[in-house]
Amino acid sequence: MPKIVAQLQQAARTFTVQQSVAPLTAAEQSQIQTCVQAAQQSGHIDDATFTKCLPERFRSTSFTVTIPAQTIQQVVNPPQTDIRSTSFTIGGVDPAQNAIGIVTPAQVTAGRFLEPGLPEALLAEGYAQQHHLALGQDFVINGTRLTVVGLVKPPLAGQAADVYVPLPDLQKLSDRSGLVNVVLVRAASAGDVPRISAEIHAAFPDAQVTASTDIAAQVSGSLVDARNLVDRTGRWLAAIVLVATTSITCMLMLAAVGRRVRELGTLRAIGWSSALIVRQVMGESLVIGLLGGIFGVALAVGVLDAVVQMLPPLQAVAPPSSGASALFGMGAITHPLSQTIRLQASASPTIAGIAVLLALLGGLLAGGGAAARAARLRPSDALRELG
Amino acid sequence: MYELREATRLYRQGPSVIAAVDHVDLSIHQGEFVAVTGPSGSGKSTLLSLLGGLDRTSSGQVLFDALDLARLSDRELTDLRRHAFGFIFQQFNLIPTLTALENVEAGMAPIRMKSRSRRDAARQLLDEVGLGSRTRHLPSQLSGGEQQRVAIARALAKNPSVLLADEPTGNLDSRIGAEILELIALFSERRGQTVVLVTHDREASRYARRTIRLRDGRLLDRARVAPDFSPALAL
Repeated sequence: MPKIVAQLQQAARTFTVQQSVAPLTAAEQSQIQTCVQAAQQSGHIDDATFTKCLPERFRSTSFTVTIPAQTIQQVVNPPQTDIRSTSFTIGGVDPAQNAIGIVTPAQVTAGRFLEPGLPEALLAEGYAQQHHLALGQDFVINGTRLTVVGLVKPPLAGQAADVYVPLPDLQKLSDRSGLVNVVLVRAASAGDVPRISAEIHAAFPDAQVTASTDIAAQVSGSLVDARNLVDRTGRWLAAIVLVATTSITCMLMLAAVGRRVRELGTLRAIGWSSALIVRQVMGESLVIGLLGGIFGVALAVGVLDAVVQMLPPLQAVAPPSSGASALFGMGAITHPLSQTIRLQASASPTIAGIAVLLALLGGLLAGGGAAARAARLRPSDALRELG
Repeated sequence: MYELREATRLYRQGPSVIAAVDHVDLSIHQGEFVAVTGPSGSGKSTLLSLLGGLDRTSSGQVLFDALDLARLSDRELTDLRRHAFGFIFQQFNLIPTLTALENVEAGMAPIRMKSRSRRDAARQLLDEVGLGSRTRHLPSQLSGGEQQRVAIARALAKNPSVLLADEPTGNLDSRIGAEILELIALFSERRGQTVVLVTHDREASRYARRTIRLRDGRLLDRARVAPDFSPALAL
């Protein structure tokens, strides 16, 4: 805010003061006579001597004050006004050519696209939400009233603005009739992009030529990183699922096998055949494997959910563009565009099924080992272990 | 019923070989109640394993109804244990996760019969050993004496011709032990079953018609055969 300084010039002035003096008292008169007589007797009497004989109030009864010309400077408070200003970016759109532009009908999320010749405006969703603007409301720019007819969601990779109005209206509002700062060119095929870019650059050496792939690369680079991280995380978590389920199954089986020697030896002694014991052990192993698999998958799903909740969301960000395209505020990415990615690592039914199958397989292997041992078990040895 | 001829069981213990049963000659008749006594390590339990087909002789023979048990295949021995032998253990050896009724049923599991019949028979046996009201109890919910009664019921479930009991009173106090021995004697007498009872307990041998003593795997006395035994005495 600049300082406002008031400058006052003052001319020279002269002041004369006149004063009414009280008359002499008898005592004063007597004193004056005595003083004058004394001066006469001394033979030295003049105006000064006489003045000294007067009372004080008679000695200077008039004076003159002269004030020279001067200039006074003083900082004054700024004036109070009711002017409010907001900043936003604005882009011009040719409603008659809506197949290509910085915003197209495909990006309208509410309302409709601009129609030629009407004082209308489109607002970016984020801008409308931030400023509590809705469809049908008026949007005033430099005294020109525009009706908000649609909300748009700018693409992640592209040029974006807060407000979109018909290009002729914007040129008129900004006093730049007939001028544009961005020309969008669509190539028939991706293979033509480098050649066309080169031709445009040759025709307009001072222009900044940006291909969509350049913008996409800024964003997709982050997305690819995020995607890779998600994939790696998913693979590791899937491995955790498998390890958890098979480990639980094997632990259960090992605990069961430890108990079985006593029981199996007894069963062998009382007439159970090896085949019957193998069948029994394998059946139990399958049940334990199945339960272990189901429990392991449930545990893993819980752990996955907890891990995903703990992971911070990832953001892919396209930085604001700069340079010539930002001069007019149209078509430039004036706000960073970002997309938030929350890591999703869920155990799919396929993975869960594989995990349960692996748990069953683990149970069969562990049970098979126990069953094989049981089949070879000599009852006398088993009972000796019991003792 | 049993005929042991120079029955010997050797075990390798490190570099040395130990004769757990050393050239034992012994005859046991059908329906006889035989107690086997001796100090620890004298070979009592090994002898019982040889009689029950749980183990094989290193040399000599164990003939059961003229069958040389050492020459039988595993399957044949299993069949024999399934039908002919009933085992009672010192530690009871019940399956801890099964109820009393299921434990008794487990003794009949290898035998082909309808599950309903098996269950009824098991319940009947538990009733006979005095546990008709404890059929649904787990072993951990039963006292030692009750567990041994379940084990006796399990051993009797297939109505074997021989009961082989290895220190059945070893984990019980004397009063409960006496009850168990009486139960074994009662059932074996009622069913005409042969009983071979391995025990430390001198009192236990009172239930036996004949007592044989082992030391270092050898028979100590001349009681190899019961000279005056007749099946009628045992019935």
